[in-house]
Amino acid sequence: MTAIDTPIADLNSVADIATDTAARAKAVDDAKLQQIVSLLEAALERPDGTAAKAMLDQLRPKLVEARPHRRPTLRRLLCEPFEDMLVDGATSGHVVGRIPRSAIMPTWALFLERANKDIIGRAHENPADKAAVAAALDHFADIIKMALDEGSAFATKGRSLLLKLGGETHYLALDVMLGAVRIARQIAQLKASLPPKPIAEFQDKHLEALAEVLNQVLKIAPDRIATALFVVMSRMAEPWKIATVLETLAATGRFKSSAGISEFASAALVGRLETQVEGVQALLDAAARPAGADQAAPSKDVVAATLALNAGDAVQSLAGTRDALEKAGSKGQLREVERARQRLRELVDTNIVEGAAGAIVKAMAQSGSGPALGQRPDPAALRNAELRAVALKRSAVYAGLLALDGDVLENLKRATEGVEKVASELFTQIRRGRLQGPSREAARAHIMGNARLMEILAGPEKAEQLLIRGLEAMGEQL
Amino acid sequence: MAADAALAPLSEKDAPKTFGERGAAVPFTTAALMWARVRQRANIKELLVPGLANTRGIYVFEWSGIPQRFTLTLFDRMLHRAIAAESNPSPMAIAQIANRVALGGAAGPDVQAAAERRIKDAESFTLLCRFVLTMRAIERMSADGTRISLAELRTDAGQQRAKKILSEIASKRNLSAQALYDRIETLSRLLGAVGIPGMPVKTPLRQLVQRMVQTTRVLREWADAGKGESIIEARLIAQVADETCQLVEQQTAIVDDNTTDIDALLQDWTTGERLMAATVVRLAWLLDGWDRLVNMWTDVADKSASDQSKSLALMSYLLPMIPARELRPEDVAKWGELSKTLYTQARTSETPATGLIDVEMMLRLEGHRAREAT
Repeated sequence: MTAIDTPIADLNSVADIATDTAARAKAVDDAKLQQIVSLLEAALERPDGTAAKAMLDQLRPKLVEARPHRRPTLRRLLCEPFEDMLVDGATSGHVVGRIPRSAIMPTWALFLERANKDIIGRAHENPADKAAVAAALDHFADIIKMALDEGSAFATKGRSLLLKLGGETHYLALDVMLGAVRIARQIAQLKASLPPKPIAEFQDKHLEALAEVLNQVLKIAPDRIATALFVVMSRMAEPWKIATVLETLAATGRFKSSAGISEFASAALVGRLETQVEGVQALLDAAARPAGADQAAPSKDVVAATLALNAGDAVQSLAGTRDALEKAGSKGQLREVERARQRLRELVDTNIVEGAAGAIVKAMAQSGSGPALGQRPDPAALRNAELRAVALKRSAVYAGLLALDGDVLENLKRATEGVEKVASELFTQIRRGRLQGPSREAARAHIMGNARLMEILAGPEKAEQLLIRGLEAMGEQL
Repeated sequence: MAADAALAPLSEKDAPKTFGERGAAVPFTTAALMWARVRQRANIKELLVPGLANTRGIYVFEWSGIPQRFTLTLFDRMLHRAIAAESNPSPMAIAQIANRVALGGAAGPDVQAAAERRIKDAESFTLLCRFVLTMRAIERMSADGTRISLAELRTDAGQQRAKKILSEIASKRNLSAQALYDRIETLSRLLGAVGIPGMPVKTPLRQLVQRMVQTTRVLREWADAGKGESIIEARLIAQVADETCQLVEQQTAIVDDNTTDIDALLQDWTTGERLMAATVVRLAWLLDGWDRLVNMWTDVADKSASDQSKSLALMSYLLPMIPARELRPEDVAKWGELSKTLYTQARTSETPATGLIDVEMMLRLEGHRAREAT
């Protein structure tokens, strides 16, 4: 067939190929992307900034890959001291060493409302002017401190501030921000002298730099030692080892405090516990949220697979924290750890483990491996079964630390047997059916769907055996 | 070389001299084989696996023995069988086979859907290429300045008009109308996947080149900022990507220039067709393996510097270096220097153990295949 003889129906199918594919590919070259990002970032500061933010959010996957130069803004620079403490979600409850990202905008608005326009104007005009930015940072600390002082001295002012900030969590976050901003120079020094995160091991020069910063903090703001430790821990591969790091500093005389090293470390570790569990809850909430306003919320199966992937780090961290506190913590702190572990266990059990085998087998049955053999498997049902199987398999890696290993193994066993049973019934039907044409193709797709699921649950050997049996039922060979 | 034997640690002397010797990248989803290549030597098909056993050497296995050596994923078992039957495992042939296997569902529903999209997109690109070539042929070859637009070509009346104009052009050039149509058809089948100037959408091949350019810039910035331990690897990968892009651009320029001067291409058809076919094959070899490298970087683009360093070290293991005999004489020394840097860069391997399948890595590699087609 030539171009000229191509049926018009085919031509119409590509009628909007440019728009369609370009949108999908987001094939923007470097220079163009840079231009778009600069325009949108400039618009972020304007009253219509919400639209620009939404557009930047849409571009985020592309930005991660292409990494265009981001415009340094005063707001971004002011957040730098506490960026390691920013968390998504967590919009209610007490905050320890963490700041909900949602607190930034109301705090920024409060600052703009009360700030000296000259001071912020100079830093805003030229974010590269270090002196101007440092002055703005000091000014920011003064204003936040004044607002907090007023709030605690006068109940009405406190209530008004709470309303302005949009809730108690944001109000409490002000103090955490203030703590970080007060030692901003030390935090910046710490970040510059430590290796890139995650830090697996501290070399002597890093310990030296850490001790120097902690000693400085001890002099200027002794109540903010924990803030500095939060920054260090957020950069460590195994944050629960902070006690060992501090002990090394104390043993070599580089950092000593009358408050006692183990108290610092234990308090910082317990402070992180809530963050860890809230972090997993936030991941769960994020996984369950629709990707866009016009899109449906992800299924329970998608949520399970995402949670299973992300919960692993929190579980490992919790186990490490427990080990550290068993050596140096109090009974009360250990109870905190156990409470956090129970919450995490419940999250994993409810969303991943409980009923997993049943859900997998049910999804397989819904894919059409039953009476309606003449039709190809439903891809959505197959995908759901696969996601649940992936979630279960992922959770097996850390189930022992949550005392869920027995439940996970049991679900894996039952799911494997369930898929085996569905497959056997399918093969019997295939043998009876003497399938031809499209029915035969559909049967082949069902066999492959079963084999794929078996691979995830029980490995490729079993999957191949199942595939061979299925093909034999059709009179074929692999 | 005897099959199933390990080469000594790779040196410049051992480096493959041709694309065929280098082998074509195979999109395996088994972690240990993620950088593996296949090559045909006379009647023997070989699997080349770099980075095993913490060495920089490349292990060579006889193709038929792979299932006994590695615990393959289901998709790889099917892929292994399908490639065994292919006498010329070129990058284009491997891509077609991998897509065919993915269509069967062995790598799950997402990869299956991506394979379906890939086929549909390839048909669309071919069709779009035909339209643009038809427009260009009319514009360049009709003596009276007749033009036809893409919008018009998409209508029934526009099709009829184009057919009539092409028939007139053909008769003036002592060609049958059918011969002219066939030439346009052949060209569009050859060049649809590459893309030609005037096509309003970038083909996956050109998108890959664009991603390589972006990755090059990002890696150079990463190295300049001293973000992690693998600075040498980051610079090396960036430089090899940059040099490869330059070689690719030489080839796309051949396609672009010849399809712009389409009258000459269609007139001197025998030479032109051969040149276009050779260019498409060379492009496939030049870019072979880069999609996986770029995807590996994308996976860690928002991760820690430490994760990025590990990935960069791993990526440097299978940089698709251009074999000496595939280069112009003036480029040989430059690539020789790059090879020298690569082979003297002694780092430990991050390649996972080979005993069991690594489900996370399997899902990640499947994710690449699904993502490439979106």
